[in-house]
Amino acid sequence: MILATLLFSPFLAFLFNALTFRSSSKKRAGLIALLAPALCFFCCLFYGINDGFKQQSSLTLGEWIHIGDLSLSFSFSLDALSLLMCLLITGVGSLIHIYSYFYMSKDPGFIRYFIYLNLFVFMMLVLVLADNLPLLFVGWEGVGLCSYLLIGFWFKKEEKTEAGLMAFIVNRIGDAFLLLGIFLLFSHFKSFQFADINLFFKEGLLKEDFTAPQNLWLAGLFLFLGAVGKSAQIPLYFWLPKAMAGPTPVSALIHAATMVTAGVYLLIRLSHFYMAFPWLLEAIAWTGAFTALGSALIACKSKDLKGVLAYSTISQLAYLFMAVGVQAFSASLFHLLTHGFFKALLFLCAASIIKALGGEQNIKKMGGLARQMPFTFRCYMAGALALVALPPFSGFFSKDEILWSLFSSSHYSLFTLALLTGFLTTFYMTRLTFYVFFDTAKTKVLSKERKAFHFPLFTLAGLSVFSGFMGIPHLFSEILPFHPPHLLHEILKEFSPRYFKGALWQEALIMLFSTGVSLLVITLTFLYYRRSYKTSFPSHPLFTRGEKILEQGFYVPQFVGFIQALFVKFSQFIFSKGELVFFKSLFFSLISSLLSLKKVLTSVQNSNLQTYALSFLLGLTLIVFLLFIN
Amino acid sequence: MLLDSFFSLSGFFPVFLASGLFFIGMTGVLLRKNLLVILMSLELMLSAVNLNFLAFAKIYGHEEAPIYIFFIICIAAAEAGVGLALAVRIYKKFKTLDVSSLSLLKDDQ
Repeated sequence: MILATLLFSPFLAFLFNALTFRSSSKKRAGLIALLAPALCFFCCLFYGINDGFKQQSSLTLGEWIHIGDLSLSFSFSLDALSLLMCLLITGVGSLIHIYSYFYMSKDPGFIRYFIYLNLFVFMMLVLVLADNLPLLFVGWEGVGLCSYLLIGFWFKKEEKTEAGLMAFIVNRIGDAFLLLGIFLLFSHFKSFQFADINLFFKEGLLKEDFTAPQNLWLAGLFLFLGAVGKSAQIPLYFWLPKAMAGPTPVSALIHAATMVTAGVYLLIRLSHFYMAFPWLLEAIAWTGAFTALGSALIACKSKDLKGVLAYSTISQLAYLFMAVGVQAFSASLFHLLTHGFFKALLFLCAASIIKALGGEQNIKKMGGLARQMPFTFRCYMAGALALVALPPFSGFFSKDEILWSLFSSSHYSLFTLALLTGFLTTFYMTRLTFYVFFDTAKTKVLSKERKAFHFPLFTLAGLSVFSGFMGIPHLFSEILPFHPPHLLHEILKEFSPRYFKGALWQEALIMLFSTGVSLLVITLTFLYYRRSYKTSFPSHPLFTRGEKILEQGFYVPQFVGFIQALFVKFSQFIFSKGELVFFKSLFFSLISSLLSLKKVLTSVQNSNLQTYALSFLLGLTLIVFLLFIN
Repeated sequence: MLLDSFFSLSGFFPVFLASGLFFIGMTGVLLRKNLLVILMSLELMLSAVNLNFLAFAKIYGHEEAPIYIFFIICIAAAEAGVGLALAVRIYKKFKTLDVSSLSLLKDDQ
């Protein structure tokens, strides 16, 4: 029942709007599009409150593929993990739909926008509800398609279409690996079901002498590479900053809160599988660590408001991978949820700011917005403080849990990198906040804050502040009366069996240290930017050089551009040599032979009476002749 | 010698005459350009066939053959009427009776 609602309401809204695209009024289309995810959200909420986290419901919508032994159906299942994801998708999705309703109200592509957005919500739900890998792949591709459509939403500008294309093509690389991984898994298990795969490893890991089927590490690697493409990690991360070309609410929904987390979702979904390959997990964690550090460094020098947030998203997603890498799946999902809230909030604030400034995205040209946009400023601060992980904001709880699991599983080098990334996060967010809200005003605010935006911003701000209490750290639950449980860990026990133990004083020390250093970084950064540093700060040539490298994003965009140019050159070569020379001559000779054949054939039908008469006669003679022979 | 054998075949003389007429008519149909002349040649071919028929009837002694001949002559007359009517229509439409220019098909190139 709930599954049917979840799947059908966004799909029907999409279908209805798509079919009445020409005749529908903006208001009607918008309301329909808006109601669908809201309905889903309330269904999920209701279901979750009524013990939905402890049960599993499934729904089969008929058969899809049936060849020999292989039987695949459109079957969906809703368990604790999917339910959490659904709550995030539909909850944040509804808020962003509401925000978009006002944000896009003057756009001529209003209805088209909501058609895409509904389709996206539907596909994302298919992705998280699918109970087998190919169906997940359907959702996976579907969200990729919507992402492409929405990045290039203003398709009349060429660079936006190109950004969409880039996102799509880079994702294709990951998707190809994902598909290979799925096939490899199938070739071993003869089944696509998540349940079968997880069960095999779950039972296997309980045995003493279990060794994972060794050829499956390749499948794990391929699935991980698929996740890397979707979740924008090294080496396939560069599409995400470009994806900021789309409307900003889209960046909030797709490129911060939901779609980019699909990769991590896949890894958590196959948690038991990955636990059988410790070195693969190690690789995942290290990929995460490098991505986190690298993108945080780039974010420190980015001048684009959305660019900073995009790199920050990559870096936060990398935290999720690090957590997955040390088997802290519930911590990963925890940060996924809180990050979904506060990053969506930050993006929506950015949307308000960019709109108010008439499309200005350069943070160095902003300033003084704290006074001019007080509501947005307050909401932004809630999001930013959650991102820099200060207590009691939500980011603190989730990031602390990741740090703790890194530390207590004695991955000290990863832990150091994560901590360092955390301080860099603090630095770039403080820098961003300073430039946007406190610096002297440089661009005029064109429009006042709109009341319509308040509801979604306020709700998300509330979530960014309080959602951390889903997972109260072990330390606090020991100290506090009633011993509040770690809700998320209990919910996800099935997926994340490992429990991270350690001395309480260590946990306390880590919290104190990270919070203290963050506060210190905030203060120092503020002071540093307050007194325009160019005069007071000694500049070393090495320092300026490093700055330049960061500004260029480690020259990755140039490298990608180079590869792109190579491809373009290659296709031009194929075109000039293959198409114009080879195929053209081939086709011309074909055409000329056809023409000469035509000439022969048309002489039969030449509209000359006497030729016809002659051919009659000859035919008749032939027949008579043949008769005589017989 | 040759003449002798020819006369010994004198019973077949009408057959040779008829085939001669037939080929003359056929040449006319195939080569002449004027529609009226073509129709005339057609009539000639028809008459040749009639003659041929009659000649064989005489040789093999079928008495009832002339009845069929009359039928054929009647039909030929009717056919000539239709043919001439068509010729009149064609002349009105194309202003010519030259068969090589009677064409409604499109020329290519």
